[in-house]
Amino acid sequence: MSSSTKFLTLKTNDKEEFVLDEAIAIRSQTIKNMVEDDCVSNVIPLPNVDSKTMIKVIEYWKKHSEEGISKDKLMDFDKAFVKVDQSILYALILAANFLNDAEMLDMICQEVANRIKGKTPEEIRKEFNIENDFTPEEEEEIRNENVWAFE
Amino acid sequence: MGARAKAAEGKSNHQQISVSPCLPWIPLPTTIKTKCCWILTKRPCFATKITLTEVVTKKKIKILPKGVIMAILLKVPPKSMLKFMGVSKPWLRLISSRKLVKTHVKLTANDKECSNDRVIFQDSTGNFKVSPLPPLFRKEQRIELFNMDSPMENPNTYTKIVGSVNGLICMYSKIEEPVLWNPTIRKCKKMPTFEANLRRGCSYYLNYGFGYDESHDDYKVVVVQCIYDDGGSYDTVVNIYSLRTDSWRTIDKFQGNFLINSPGKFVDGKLYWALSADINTFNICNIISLDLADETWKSLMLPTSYGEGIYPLALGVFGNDLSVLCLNCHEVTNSDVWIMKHSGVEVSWTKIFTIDHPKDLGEFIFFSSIFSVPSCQSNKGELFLLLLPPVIMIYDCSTRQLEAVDHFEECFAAEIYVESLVDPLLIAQNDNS
Repeated sequence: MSSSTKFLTLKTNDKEEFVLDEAIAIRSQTIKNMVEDDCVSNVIPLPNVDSKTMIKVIEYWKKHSEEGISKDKLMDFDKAFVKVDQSILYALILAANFLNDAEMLDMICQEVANRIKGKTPEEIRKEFNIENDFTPEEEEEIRNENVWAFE
Repeated sequence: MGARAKAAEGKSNHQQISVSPCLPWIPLPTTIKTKCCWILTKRPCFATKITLTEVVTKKKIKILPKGVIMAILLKVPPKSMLKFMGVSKPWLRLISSRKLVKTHVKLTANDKECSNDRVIFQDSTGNFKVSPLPPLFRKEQRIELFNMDSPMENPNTYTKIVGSVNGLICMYSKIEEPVLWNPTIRKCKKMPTFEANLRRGCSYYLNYGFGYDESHDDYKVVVVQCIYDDGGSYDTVVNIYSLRTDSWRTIDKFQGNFLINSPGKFVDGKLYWALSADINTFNICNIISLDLADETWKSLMLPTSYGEGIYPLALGVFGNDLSVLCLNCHEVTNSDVWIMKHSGVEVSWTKIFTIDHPKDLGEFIFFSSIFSVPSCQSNKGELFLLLLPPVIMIYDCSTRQLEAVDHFEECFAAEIYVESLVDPLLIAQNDNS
C-alpha cells in the first residue's frame, strides 16, 4: 500500500466507526463533496446510515473498486448482493440515496422494480406502507381507465 | 476477523477498538442460530450478521423519499406504471407528472437494449398487432404478438403511418383526418381538420411529417400541399399543427419544387424531405429540412456518389442519423446506405453498407424504412430491420443478405415506436384550459 493512501473514518448513527481508504469512500458523492470542500475533520458522521447497512455498502464499494475485476464477476456479485430481505434492501436504498452513490442506487432500484412490477396496487401499498387515500369510486374510475393494464 | 474489521481493513496500524466483533457475543435463540449457521457456511460474516439483525429486530418498513420512488418507477414497464396509478393520490400525481413522463422518454432513448421498442403493424381487420423489437432481431422462433384495437372510428386497412416520436404515432385513414395515438397508454388525439387552410380548385397532393419540438416541448405535424397545374407551374402551402395549442397554422414555404418522400423523416428536431424538380420522375435535386423549433427551411447536398441525380433514392432514419439509400449507379442490383453527420454547419456523408436487392423486391426497396438496434448484432456484422409493408426484413451486413421475418402473415402499415407515457390528450388540454 502506498504511503500516500489516505483514510477516512465514517461514523454511523449507532456510533460505530469504519475506517476506509479515501479512494473507496469517495464513491459516495456526499463524502467526495465533503473531502473536496475540505470539510473533513477526523470523523465523518453519517446520521442516516446504521452500521449493519454500512457494512453492506462497504462490501459493495470494495468489490466495485477491485482492480481488474471482470464485468461478469461484478454482475454476479451484484446479483447476490441484492438477494436480501426487503427491509435490508430499503435500508440500502436510503443509504445509497444519502451517500449519493448513483451507481449503487440505480442497481438497487432496478432490483426493487423487478420485484414490484407484477404487483397489484393493493400489494404495492403493503410493500411501501402506503395508505389508500382514494374513495372506492375514485379507485374504480382509475382502474376503469386502464383496465387493460390489469389483464 | 469480524465483519466490521474486514470492512474497515485498510490501514494495518489503525486502532481497531472501534470495530466490534459480530457474532459470538450476541446470545441467540436456538432457531435463529441454526438459520445463521447455515448461512454462515455459505457466505461468511456479512450475510450472517444481517440475517441475524433482521430476525431480532423485525424492523418496520421505512417510507422511501419521493425521488427514490420515482427512480424505482422509472424502471418498471409502462404498463405497471399505469396500474400503480391506483396506489394512492401522491402516486397518481407522480406517475402523471410531466417530469416523470419526460425523464422516462429520455431514459428510453438512451437504452441500448431497446427494451421498450415495439414493432406495430396492421392486420387485415384494420386492427393492430404489436411485438417487442429485440426478439425480432435475435430471429427468435416464437415472437409474442399482442393484439391492439385501432383507435380509428372505422378501422380499415388504408391507414397510413406518418411517423413515431416518443411513443406517439401520427397516422391517418382519411388523408385530411390525422390522429396522434399512444398505443402504450391507449390514448388517441384526433386533430382538428385543416381543410380550411388548403387551396381549392387545383390539383395537389399532401405530404406529411411528424416530429417533436424539444424547445417548446411540443409535438408538431406538418402537411405540405404540393400544388401543380396542367401548365407545368407549381406551388406549395405548408401547414403546421401544434399539439400544445391544438391548432393549425400556415407557415413559410420552401424554395424548390416537389417533395418526393412521404412522409418526411424526423431526425434531431428537424424534418427532412428529398426534393425533385419534376413530379414525374425520381430525379432528386437535394434534401431540405424544416427546423420544428424556429420553423425555418434549409437545403443540403446529397452524397457525392449520387451522381447526376437520375437514380432512385430514399431517406430513412438510422439510429439518430438521417440516412439515404441510393441505387448504386454502376451496379443497379444493389444500393448503398449513407448516413449524414453534422459537424457544426458542415454536412458530411458516410457510406455504411451496401444492400443486394432481393430478386422479387427490386427497386421497391426504396419504399422501405430502415432501423437498427445497437445491442442486436450478429457475430460478424450489424443487423438492420427494414419495414416495407407487407414485408418486414432483416439485413445482415456480414452476409449482405436480406431475410424476411415470416412471423407476420399479414402486415399493412407498420412502424417502430417506443413505449412511453406521453399523453396527447393531456398535452392538448393543458394549454387550452
